[in-house]
Amino acid sequence: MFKTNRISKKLILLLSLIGVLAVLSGCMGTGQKPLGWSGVVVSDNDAIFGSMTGKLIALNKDASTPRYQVPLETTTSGGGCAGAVTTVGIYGTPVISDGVIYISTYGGKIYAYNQDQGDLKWVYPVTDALPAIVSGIAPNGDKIFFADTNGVVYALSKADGQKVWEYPTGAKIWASPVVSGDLVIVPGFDKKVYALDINTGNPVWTFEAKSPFASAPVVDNGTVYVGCFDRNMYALDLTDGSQKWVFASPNWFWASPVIADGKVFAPNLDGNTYILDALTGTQLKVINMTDGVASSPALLGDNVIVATKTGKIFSINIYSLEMKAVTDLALKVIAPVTVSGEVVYIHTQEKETVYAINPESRTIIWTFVVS
Amino acid sequence: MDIGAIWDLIILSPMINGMVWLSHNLWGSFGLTVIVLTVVIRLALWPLNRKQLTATKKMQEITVHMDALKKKHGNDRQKLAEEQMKLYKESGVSTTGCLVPMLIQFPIWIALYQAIVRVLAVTPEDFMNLSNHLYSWPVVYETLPLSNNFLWMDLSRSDFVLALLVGLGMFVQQKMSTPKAINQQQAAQSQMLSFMMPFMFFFFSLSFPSGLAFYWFVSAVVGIIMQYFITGWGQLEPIAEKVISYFRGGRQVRSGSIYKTEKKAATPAGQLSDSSTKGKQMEGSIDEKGRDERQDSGGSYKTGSKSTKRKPKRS
Repeated sequence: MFKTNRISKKLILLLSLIGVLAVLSGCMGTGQKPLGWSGVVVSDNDAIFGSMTGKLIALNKDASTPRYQVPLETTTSGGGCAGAVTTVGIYGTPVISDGVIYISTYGGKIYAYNQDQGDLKWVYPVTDALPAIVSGIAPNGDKIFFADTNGVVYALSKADGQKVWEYPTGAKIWASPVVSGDLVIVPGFDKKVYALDINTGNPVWTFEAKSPFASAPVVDNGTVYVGCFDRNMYALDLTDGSQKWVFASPNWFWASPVIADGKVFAPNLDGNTYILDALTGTQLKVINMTDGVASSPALLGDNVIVATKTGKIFSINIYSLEMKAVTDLALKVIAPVTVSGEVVYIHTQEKETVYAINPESRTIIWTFVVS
Repeated sequence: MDIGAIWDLIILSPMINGMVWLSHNLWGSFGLTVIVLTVVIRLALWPLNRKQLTATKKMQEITVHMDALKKKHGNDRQKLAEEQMKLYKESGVSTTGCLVPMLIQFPIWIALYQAIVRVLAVTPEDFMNLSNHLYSWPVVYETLPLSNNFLWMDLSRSDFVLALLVGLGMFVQQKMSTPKAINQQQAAQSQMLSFMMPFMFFFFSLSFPSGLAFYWFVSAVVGIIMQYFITGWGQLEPIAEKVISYFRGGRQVRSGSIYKTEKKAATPAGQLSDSSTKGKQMEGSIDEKGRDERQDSGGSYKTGSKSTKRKPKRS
């Protein structure tokens, strides 16, 4: 009897301890913190981006003064952490359409804010959350399109955030969808590129490669250009998804390419930018950028602006294919390059800062350090 | 070349590519990859592990002599230390022998953690960094990222059930390897240690992706098997015998003493004599009083000493 009591006490103590630890474990997570790499979107007088501190920040695009900063928080559920509020990573660059900012978060929410004052218009889903969202948002007509890390592609109404349709694919999706005509093009980790009907979400065609896709595709002149983890850049026919050409490289095309003057400017993580003939995929030139490029470049006039992972900014003339160094920020850059007017906007992931740079004069116009 | 680059070149990159290659050849299962990897690492560390286990066994064997030394030189600490070192030397016991395999495993754990968060694409940042480590083997690029799912687990996230199993595995291993205590203070210390390590790993398992915790679990299971063949059940002997006798029909006899249970269970079948002997051999470190008390209180030094304390209360 005495022994049984002692064992029972020990058992109760052990079970209680396990219970406490189970509750605590819900608060601890797995140790990895997704920080995000949102680019900057410029509209009217605002330069807007999602910060690594989980805020939607609107700056005056000419003076870097913040107009508003909205924390995008999420409420974790379960265990002893019920009700705990944490900030979220933001990977997709916000998009602005008809005076409304749409932004996706790693916390599994889509937010719509009025650009003017930064007040919330709607959130999807209203309760709970979707799986983490890395993909950005593509607005078109009266809908927006995005995908989650469970591989589901969604179409929401721009007006009220109601779901119009959803389409489940086979694996997680990180790439932002693009809309061209009646098709939503979205590549996924199931090694497939999907072309979905914009109104119903039904697949019109699919293309399958040997490896997953994570970078956003670019559509130009009836061709889909998309980089794959098999180290290839694929050119697919927009109408049926058939392969037009493929270009093999030594490393991943993480960044999306820029298409200009019949050429594909495709930076690679191997530290080179490959310039290809858009029709045939033939290599025209290779430019060594000294460091790998993960940030998607942007076209500014006759120049493609490229930022390396180590913060070196270059411009490549689309006709002469000559490269010029713009500046060296010496900070990590993964977020896509944004251009507006004569200005280039860079959001660094190290010492989180937004730079406004004039590439012509090679001067930094202003900087905004995220606190 | 800085230390980080050397680390990547010699440890991390080979581990990442090796894991991806293994996974490709194991039906894309990352769980099976971890099992095979654990066995390979354990085999590679076998010479060191064998040394450690042998040292543990010797340590268990000399506890009687240690106790005698303590009684003899209890008041002269310096003499006691000298005699203990002499005994260690004569018996071939290395006091640091147990630490080496543990220290060698630290870099493996760190590399495994770094490899897991990258190949399983735990966060987009982790996966992006993977490109710096990949060899130009086509199979590597075709296999990535690896599937997160194995049995009930998402190997990129922590798992409570697996954390419990890790804790349990570590506890069993700890109990098997801890030498028998020669006094009450040491008994308390070893009891604390046997709980501290499992709890520490339980917490770690909750804080890291379960791919790493799964490595700890498989490693503990392999360790238990290896330990059993070299040192036997160690301090788990009474529990092991209880379990064995339970399954062999001893459950009808619930006297509270493992020896009584064994005798009654073993006599008809005649099968437990060997394990009974083992149990008796372990009594060597206990004085006569403790031995007498243990006859009716569970069969270990620890239990015996507790009974001694509580006896007055019961009466």
